[in-house]
Amino acid sequence: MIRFFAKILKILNSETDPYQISLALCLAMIAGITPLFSLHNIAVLLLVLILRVNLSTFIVGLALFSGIAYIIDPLSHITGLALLTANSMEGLWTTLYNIPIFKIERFNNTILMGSLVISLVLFLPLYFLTKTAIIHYREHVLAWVRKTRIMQMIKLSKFYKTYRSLSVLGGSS
Amino acid sequence: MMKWFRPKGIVAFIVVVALLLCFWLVFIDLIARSAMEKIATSIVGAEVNIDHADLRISPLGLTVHGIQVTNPDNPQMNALEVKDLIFSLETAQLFLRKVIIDEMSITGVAFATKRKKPGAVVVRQKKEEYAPAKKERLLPTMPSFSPDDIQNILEKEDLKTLALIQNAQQETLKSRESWQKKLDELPDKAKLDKYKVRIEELRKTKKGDAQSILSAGSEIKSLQGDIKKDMRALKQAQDQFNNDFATIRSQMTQIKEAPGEDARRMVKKYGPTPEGIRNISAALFGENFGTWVERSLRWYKRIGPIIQRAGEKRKDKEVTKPLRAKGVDVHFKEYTPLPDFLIRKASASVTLPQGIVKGKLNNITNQQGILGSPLTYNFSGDKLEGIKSLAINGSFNRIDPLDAKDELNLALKGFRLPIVDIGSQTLPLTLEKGVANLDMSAKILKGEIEADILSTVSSAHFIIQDSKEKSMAYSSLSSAFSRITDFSLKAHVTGTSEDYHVELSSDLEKVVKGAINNLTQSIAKNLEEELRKAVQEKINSPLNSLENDVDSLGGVKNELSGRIDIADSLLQEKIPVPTPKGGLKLPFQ
Repeated sequence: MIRFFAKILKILNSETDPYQISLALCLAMIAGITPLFSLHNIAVLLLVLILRVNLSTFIVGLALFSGIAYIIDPLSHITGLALLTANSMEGLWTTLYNIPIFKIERFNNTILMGSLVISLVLFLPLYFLTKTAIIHYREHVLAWVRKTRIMQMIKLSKFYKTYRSLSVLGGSS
Repeated sequence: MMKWFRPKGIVAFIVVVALLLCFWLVFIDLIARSAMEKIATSIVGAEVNIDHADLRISPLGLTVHGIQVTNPDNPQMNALEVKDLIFSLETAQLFLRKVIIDEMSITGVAFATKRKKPGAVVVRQKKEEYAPAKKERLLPTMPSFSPDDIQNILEKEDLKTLALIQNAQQETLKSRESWQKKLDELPDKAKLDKYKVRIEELRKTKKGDAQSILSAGSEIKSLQGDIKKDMRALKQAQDQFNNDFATIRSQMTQIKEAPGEDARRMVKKYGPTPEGIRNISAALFGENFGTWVERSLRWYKRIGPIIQRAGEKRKDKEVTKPLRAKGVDVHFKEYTPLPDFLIRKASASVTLPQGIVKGKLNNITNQQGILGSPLTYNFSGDKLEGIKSLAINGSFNRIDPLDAKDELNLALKGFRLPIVDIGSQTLPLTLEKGVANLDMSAKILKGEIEADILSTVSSAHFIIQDSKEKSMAYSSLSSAFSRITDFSLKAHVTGTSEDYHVELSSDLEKVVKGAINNLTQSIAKNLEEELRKAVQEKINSPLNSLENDVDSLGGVKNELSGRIDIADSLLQEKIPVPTPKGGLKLPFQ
């Protein structure tokens, strides 16, 4: 757990561009809260690899959102069921149902549909929110935190040693 | 723009995908085997093992070797074992997430084989024990009666014979009293003697004048009139007495027959009856048959999900629970509808201990509604060891799940029966050999079972082993069973798979019932005789007293007869009529 938080702090305190962190987190959200072995996650993997996103953030985010997925599964099911059984969308779903790639995607599963829609809806808000938060953190909080007595004490702690070891070992993506 | 992109990422992606593909190719057999084992285990509720699975890419197909399905009721055994299962898949349909198999070959199917190690049972079914008719009832307890038992019965019972004797005795006494009175009122000997005196007096009058002759004539006429009047009274009394006496005699006759009636009534109440053998067929075959029906229905219920997809409607759309996945799948109209899973044709060879039975199955799917055809099957076998021929055919029609019609027809000819233990502790009966022909026709319409089974067994040989407690019924039934060589057994099954009723009947019932009836009749006859003797003994004293009373009535009869005889003799007396001195003849002379 210490290592996990140390890693988050390291990413936040690194020189990595905030958009790289935010985008990685948003893509991790899609892969994490939707069923992992889904067709769309190959596209997510492609995006993670070809876009300059922070891979460490993606991996940490994937672990985090996979956990969150268990909590929001009931919400995903309700959302997916509501969308898939909506009469107004029946034509669209019927068309997609008869296209092989969508059949492989298993879009007609309530959890998949619900979690995918939720993650896509939250994609942009999360992106801008995290990006703004990182910038704000680096500009205002980081300098202040470094000066605080607690931080001085932390620097002497095991947690800090772990953090430092990661800084020495790891490099940014 | 390049700030956003990482060109090397494409290479990384290709490498990752290639690695995934390699992993898939290397491990797909293992993954497929593991997935099949898990899915099959969850369907059956007990461990399913597969030796190995080979996936072919072109043409896409799968060969599965060594499938073992644990029997959930007996984990030491396999319910089913399949040597090889080979099939090809329609690749295009697979991209539409449909498993369509044109032809499947299943070889080396065997039932109830022993496992090397016990299989794990995932969901242990609640074992529903079939409760056949209690075997103990096969041999009814035949009672025996000691002299004390006979006395106890007599003490408990109100004897009709005694009541009749008491009644007859009262009536006899009443009658005797009444006749004593009547005899006093009737002309007695003294009165009749007076007539004699009058006759004598008339005889003394021999000749005289006309006046005395007329007076004598008138006296004779009056005398005769008096005697005749008394005679009539006596005769009337005699007739009345005879009537009364006949009534008493008739009561005596009834009394003489009454001990027999009392004995018969008591035998009916306390004697042996063949009630305990009401359902011989259920007692003999119920347990074996019930277990077989129970097992068949349990497997029928397990087949249910394979032949009918469990779905429900939500907002007019069919939704199904995907196997081992979360959420539900919502299904939409397909332009070219096909079931998600379909085996168009499957040929199977089943290895039974008697030989190989071959058969074909068509349209195996859990979405018959989409296909529009029912699952049909047809198996047959000849040249089997101990079986002349075997034919099984039927269908599972779930095209309309609300109007499900399933059928099974079975014809088994010349089946040499194995040793079947059908006895009980009190009658250790074993059907040692026999040749059976069996015809079965079963239908399950909307969950309602209607099955008829007729089995005829010839060349049967029953063995009755020595029993520790050899009752009278034991020896009687032993002899009856040893004579049986042919019999038939009929079964009618109705109800639902949850609550079914089996009605068994057999012509063995006649034989067994006949033997028991003969035995009970013999015991009853002895008991009747014993009871009759005991009743007779008990009534001896009151009966003697009654007979004495009746005999005393005989005195009345004699008295009446005596008086009538006297009166008659008086009427016969010839009274010489006095003649006139001149020799005139009188008109009444």
